[in-house]
Amino acid sequence: MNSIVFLGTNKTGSSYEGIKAAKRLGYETILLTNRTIFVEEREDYQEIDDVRILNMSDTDEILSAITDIIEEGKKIVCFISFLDEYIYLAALLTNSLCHTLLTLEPLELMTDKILTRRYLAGKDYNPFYQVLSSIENADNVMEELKDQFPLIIKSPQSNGSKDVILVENVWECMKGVKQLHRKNSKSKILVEEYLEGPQYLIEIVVYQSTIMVAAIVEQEVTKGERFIITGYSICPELHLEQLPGLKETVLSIIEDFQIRNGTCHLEMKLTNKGWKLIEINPRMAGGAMNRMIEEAFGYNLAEQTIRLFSGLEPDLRKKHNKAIYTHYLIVGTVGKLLKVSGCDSAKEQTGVLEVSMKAEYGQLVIPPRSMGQRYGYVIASADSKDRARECALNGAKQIQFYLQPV
Amino acid sequence: MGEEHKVVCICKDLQQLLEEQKNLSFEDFRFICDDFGYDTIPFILSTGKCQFEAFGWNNNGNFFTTNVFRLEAIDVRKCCATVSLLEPVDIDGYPVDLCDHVFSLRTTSNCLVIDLTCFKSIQPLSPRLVNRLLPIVEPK
Repeated sequence: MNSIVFLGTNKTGSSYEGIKAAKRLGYETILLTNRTIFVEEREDYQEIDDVRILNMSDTDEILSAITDIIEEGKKIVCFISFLDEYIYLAALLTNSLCHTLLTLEPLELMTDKILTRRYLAGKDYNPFYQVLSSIENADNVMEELKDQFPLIIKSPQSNGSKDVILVENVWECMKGVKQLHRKNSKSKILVEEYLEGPQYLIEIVVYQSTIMVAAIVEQEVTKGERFIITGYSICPELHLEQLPGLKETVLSIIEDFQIRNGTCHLEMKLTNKGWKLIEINPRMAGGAMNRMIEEAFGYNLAEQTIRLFSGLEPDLRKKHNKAIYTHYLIVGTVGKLLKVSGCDSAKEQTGVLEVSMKAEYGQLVIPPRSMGQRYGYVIASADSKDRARECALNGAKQIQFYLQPV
Repeated sequence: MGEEHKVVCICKDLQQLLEEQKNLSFEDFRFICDDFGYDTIPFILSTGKCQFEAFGWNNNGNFFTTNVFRLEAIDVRKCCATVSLLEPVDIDGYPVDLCDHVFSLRTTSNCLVIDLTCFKSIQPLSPRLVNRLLPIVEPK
């Protein structure tokens, strides 16, 4: 039997759906992970055939585990990861040990936001940015930036809105810089212009230089202490061509990175200065994205990614066209979660397809400072974008979090 | 003779409960004057055949029944005690039976004087249950 080796996974969401898809396609699934839960609660993860627990921050240990797998006679079709930290290594292993040839170079660039900005320097779609290489030269940089506020400061490895801070003035900026510096004193800090306008996530699959748009998802951003995306909307009538200038910008970004074989998702914002690239990541978006796309168009993007990595042509032919909206649930107060009510009632509301709750009883929940601090979601479908949103929000309205103050 | 011994025991037990309750709220302490939020050891009394139940009115004027009490005073000589009624409520603050998802025991001003010779056992409950703050419900 042919095997696929997964480098890390989450318990749910797009990354685990990749494992499910591989299993469905008839592959033996082998997971390399440092999370013992996949062994301890084995019966909950039946799509994983073989779990190997190891220190994933040690590349030598990963390579040694792979050597063992090969020596056991397993025929590995590809290595794949849906987690940022292992994407490059997985693609490198696929190119070195399997028959598929994935585009490798941009993957390394994309995992570092400073490298990405520098690589794209001078492009119209690249926002204004500055790099703060050390806290010692912060005062000089602040002097240069004093007329540019508001600004965004972020850590180059940030993902899921973690460590992305909006600052309105020099004082806030210095406070944010110190905050990021305390977390990682060696890391540089990226300072970017703050952009306003509607934001879209675009899922891209490139197969033998042919660029395919798997989905365009409009994002609803909630601005609290951090920028948190609380709504994702797939509208069947929305095509790249309908957003003037977006198609050209997306194609030129993919072209600039010279992606020939691979997947990525871009976050683009339509500003008064045109389309700007907020972020690009060399993988499909996590969380509910795979389910949303499948419900909207009938194809499973995680599965198509597996096909691409195994050297097969991805099939993105739409089987149907539905409007989908996902509303993420967040809380506004810190507290210990005692109870969640209304999930069953939410599931019964018109149009609601799925209600997912991530938070566990007894867990401390807080107002979101990263996407990981969203505690559940409601997916709904309908025949129009507005109706799907209405259904999802109506479902979410049934759900209540009971928090014990701390 | 046996009966008398038991009566003395219940009386003595409640006397000790009252002492511990005072300690819990740091009453009469010389060096601690903070309010740590606990001043009640709730308890259930039983005759051996059934639990003692009483009814009263809560702070909103609604009728309720309960079998959980707070000890207010004890007269060892007469072997009787003054107790106040604690109202069991659920996580939303609605009155419930004790065995049905009690989240908090609300103190009330309903008092009773009871003859302790009628009872054979005391079941203490956690002081944390008394006037436990109801959770914040999100979204409101």
